[in-house]
Amino acid sequence: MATQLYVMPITGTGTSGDARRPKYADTDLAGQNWAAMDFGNEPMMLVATATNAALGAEADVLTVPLNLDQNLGAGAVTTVQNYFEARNIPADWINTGYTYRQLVRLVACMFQIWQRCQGMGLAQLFTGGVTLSTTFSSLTLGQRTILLNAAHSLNFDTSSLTGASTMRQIIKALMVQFGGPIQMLDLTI
Amino acid sequence: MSPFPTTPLLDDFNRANENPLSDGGNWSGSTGFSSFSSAQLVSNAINPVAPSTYSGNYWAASQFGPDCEVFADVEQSSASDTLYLYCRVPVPTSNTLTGYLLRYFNGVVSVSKSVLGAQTQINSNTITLAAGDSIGLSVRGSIETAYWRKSGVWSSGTPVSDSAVTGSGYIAFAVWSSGSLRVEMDNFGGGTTIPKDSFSIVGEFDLAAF
Repeated sequence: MATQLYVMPITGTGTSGDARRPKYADTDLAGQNWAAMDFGNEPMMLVATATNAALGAEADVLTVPLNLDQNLGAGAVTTVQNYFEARNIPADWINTGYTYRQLVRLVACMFQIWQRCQGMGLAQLFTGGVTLSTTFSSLTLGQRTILLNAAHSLNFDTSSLTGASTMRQIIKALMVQFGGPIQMLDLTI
Repeated sequence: MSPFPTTPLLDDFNRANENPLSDGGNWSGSTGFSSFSSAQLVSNAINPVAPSTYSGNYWAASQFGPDCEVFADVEQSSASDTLYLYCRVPVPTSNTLTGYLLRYFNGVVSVSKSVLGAQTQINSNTITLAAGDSIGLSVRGSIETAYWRKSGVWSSGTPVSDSAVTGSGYIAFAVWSSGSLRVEMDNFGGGTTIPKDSFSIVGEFDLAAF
């Protein structure tokens, strides 16, 4: 059966007995092989698994079509933008000129960068009033330090970013600089 | 599938009983979490120190990586028993463990990351193993892959990209058995793997030709 991609919320508190995991790991995904990529400590995941109708029917799951090399239609652009923006994933750059593969690749790049921040100790950022419109200078010193260190650890150029740059601008500027393969099950994107 | 494992067996546990596990200081305990105790070596295999008690040790002789792998034989006789293997663990004695961990429990081989003690499961592979089969974890760059050896044949699970934990670290294990004390693990190995994009030159150059 073909591998399909889904975007969904996270469940779990992060303890060894209740690890953070895809929201439907214990229900729709039970007994299935799957791979997941979290948005750092934000409560979202990109999940790869065999096509799963129950998963696709969940109201809070975004299903990526099997054919990743087709362009998004106008209706899909609106659906995807609304889904992502409501979950603090910048999506204003998405249009019908993108294929699903390009879309998933860039979203996965965002997630990988946020994982680097997670590994450096960044807690969930989009909480307590922080949004995609929050400027870099409005963050705490600790948050700013981690973001810069994470970007530099990945050899990213941050020269275009200033204290007035919004989180939306920062994430978009960084996501296009992420190189290397991204692997999920048998998909390399 | 990439060959696995590519690193040596570090301990076959074939020696006199040890409690705590030591092998002349190659092993230290415990692995992570404050509730862990050092495991014990009984009859040439690894047992928890007590029933329903997490017991773990790390290979203290050296750190490995960043690209590294870890593997061991599963000797569980109950589906409710658990075996963990760890890699890229910079501070194995920390109560807020950071690293990647492979778990075999109840017919599922899964990979998680632990960042400052917060665990996130990043894949799941349903496979039932028998005593004497093996599990392993490879971390190359940002790609983590679970492996298992069933009936003598290694297979790979679901690779997944994760960029949270980088750098070198220790490899380690932890075991847990419910009810009664029993053998949980044998034949532990692992080490640094050659980066995927590295190469070696075989042969000779004649510099005068340049």
